[in-house]
Amino acid sequence: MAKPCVTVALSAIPNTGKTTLFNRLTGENQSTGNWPGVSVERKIGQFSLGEYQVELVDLPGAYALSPVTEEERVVRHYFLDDPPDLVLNILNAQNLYRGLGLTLQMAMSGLPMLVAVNMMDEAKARGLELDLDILSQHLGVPVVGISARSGEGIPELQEALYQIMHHPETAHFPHISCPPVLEEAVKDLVRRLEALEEGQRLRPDFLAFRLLEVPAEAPTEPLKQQADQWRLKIEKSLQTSVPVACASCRFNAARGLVREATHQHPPGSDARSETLDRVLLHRWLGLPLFLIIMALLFQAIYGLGMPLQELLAHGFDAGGAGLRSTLAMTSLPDWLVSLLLDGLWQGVGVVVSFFPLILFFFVFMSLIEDSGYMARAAFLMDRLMHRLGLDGKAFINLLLGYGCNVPAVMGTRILSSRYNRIVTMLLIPFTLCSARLQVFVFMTGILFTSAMAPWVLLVLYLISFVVVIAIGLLLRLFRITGQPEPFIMEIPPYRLPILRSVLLRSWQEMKDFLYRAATLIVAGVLVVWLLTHLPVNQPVAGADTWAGLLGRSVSPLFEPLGIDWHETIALLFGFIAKEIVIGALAVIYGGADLSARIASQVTPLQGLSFMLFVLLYTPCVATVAAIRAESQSWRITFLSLALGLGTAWLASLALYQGGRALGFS
Amino acid sequence: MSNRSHNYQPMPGSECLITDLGNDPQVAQRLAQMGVLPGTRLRIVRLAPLGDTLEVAVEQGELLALRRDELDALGCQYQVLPLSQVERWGPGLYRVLSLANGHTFRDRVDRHGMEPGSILQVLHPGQWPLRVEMEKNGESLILGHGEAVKILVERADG
Repeated sequence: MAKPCVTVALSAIPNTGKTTLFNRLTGENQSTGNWPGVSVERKIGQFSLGEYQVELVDLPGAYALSPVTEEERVVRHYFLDDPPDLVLNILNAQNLYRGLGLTLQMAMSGLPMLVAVNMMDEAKARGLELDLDILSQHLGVPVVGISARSGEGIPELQEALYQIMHHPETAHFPHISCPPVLEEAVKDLVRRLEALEEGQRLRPDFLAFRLLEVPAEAPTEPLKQQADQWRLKIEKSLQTSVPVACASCRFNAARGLVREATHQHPPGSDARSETLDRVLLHRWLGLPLFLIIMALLFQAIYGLGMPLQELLAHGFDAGGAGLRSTLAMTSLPDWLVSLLLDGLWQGVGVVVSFFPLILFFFVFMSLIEDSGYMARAAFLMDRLMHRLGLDGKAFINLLLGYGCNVPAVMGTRILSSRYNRIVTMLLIPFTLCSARLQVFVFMTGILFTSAMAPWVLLVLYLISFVVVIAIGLLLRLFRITGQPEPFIMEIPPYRLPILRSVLLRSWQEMKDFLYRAATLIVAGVLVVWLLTHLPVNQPVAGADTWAGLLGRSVSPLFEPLGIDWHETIALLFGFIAKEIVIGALAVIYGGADLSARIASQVTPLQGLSFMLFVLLYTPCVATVAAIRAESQSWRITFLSLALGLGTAWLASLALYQGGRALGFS
Repeated sequence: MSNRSHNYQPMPGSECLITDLGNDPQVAQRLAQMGVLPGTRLRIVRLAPLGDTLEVAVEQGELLALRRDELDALGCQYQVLPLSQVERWGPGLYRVLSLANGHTFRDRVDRHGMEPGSILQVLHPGQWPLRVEMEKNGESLILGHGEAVKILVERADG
């Protein structure tokens, strides 16, 4: 007989050790994805408990069910539309007050609930004694003290969970006193809700509060009007918005509860963090130290990842060559061999070659994030990024884009609001990644003297910076991507990252990349193969292949840029990966001495225009796939493509025509 | 930007009591959800090196980062200020709460017997150099702006 399945929602405000507990309970049995249609990560894990099979849903960090952020909207709708069987809420023992706001809100839902007070060991070390019984009595739900980090209290937590699953009906719920007008409103709406629907698992006064926060979500029109009227009445009489008024009631209750449950006055802030911050956030030292840490981070990710990426790519090439000569292949028609090896095999090779970068990216990013430095970095860089409407964390993603766009786009999920995530993932493609650098080093070496070449590269980097800023300002001006959320960020204490968590996370990200981006990447590579190899019996990428026809038909668009149709096909190949552009030019020009051919056919100005185009148009199919996976939106994906192509075209046009007008050729 | 000139640069060490969460509903709601409500006491810990972003400590000692615009939008009743900004309170008696480090500075204030707890009278706040009189010994002291910044005070006259 199959085990009965129980859905448990893991909910907490940020910085409570939610992920650590999630990993502790589920181990490797977890999968990541997105919440439907939004850029918020969704994690689900499994574990068994007695006769139950538990599905643990890791809810995004939210401060309340009245939504300000996209994360909070996700949590709210999860609770209202598809309530879990049981809620596991986590509080940070060192900061009960802040967490209790959400705990009280959830406890009022009437769903069976268990509260885990995490970081009990740290609290004890700082001399904080907590009376969990008092907490439990007031909240009406069982409370267990744990340390997710050391594993202390986890068996007790599991036992308590098991007990609730066994006797879910014993749940109580707290009552919070509110101003009379608010209570009156809730009472009235409860009456109307009860008349409307029965069999709801959520308590009607919980629903009434949700209705007051967002009347537009009412199930019927009269109810919506009623809720709207009450909302106006409350706002008029209390001189504050409903969510703020409700938060006031909750935190008044929370304050009293904390006072009762803590026998001592809460100790001051953590001395170790204060000492570290005095150095790391120092007025003069803070920024240089930040730049050093960023340089180390960049080196660690790409210094370790790039050689491995190349090794894997070479391995795949060699494997492909080896396969080509096997008996099975020689017996197949040429076009099929080419489709399998130059199309499919290469596509898989592109996917696999990103694994080392993604692994190292998330290992080192998690170290930075889990240690608490990420919030500091955001604080240090905030002013600069604020101009672009972004917060400081986005700086790190943009910076790491200069190594490789793909992990940088995946890393946007670390950012704290939808606006930040979307704008950052639209900007990352304009960062000059190392694959494009290879093309530029090769071309500048041919077209310019060795004294000039480095300066050309420097100018390309500068253009990349300028374009990132300009597009950032543009996106902010036109609000294409929605409204920024307020920047109010908790700065958590410094902590030693847990190696297990870091590795588990990186492993998940690699799996995730494989599941979500691989199909699109392979499909993209196959499309390019089809374009350059069909119709059959044409020389690869020749003038009469579809790619050739495409290149020639768009040549009126590219002629003003000084880019002829041969190079347009190379740009098409560049969609697979930028490194391929050079190889593609070799195939297209078909000569042995590619350098001499390019030098004789392309003028420096045309070369510059070509490089500028390469710098700004869509980086590669893997980046596009990553943007699609992270944004969960084709609109954003196409916006990114259009922005890249449009900017590239305009910039190259300006450069080429401007250069010609000034008398260069 | 127009009202910026009337606002004072927030200084580390200043403490304020929030009286109002301001007019931006998003900011107000966010703060309320984090438990930062009217009646909460904020202490400015530091400014970001590039300015504009502030680190503040809330009552229980947790740290938040917020922008100056967001702080300016809050209704704040200052309880502790550096002596350089007492213009906001006007002339009166002030109690020294703490003195920042710095050899020359400490030597100088020590010589006049200024220490945490001392009561100072400031007659013309906002006039530089600032003249303060020590209530205890009647000595008067002329302070530069750079020195006044290092002295955190609260009101001592009710």
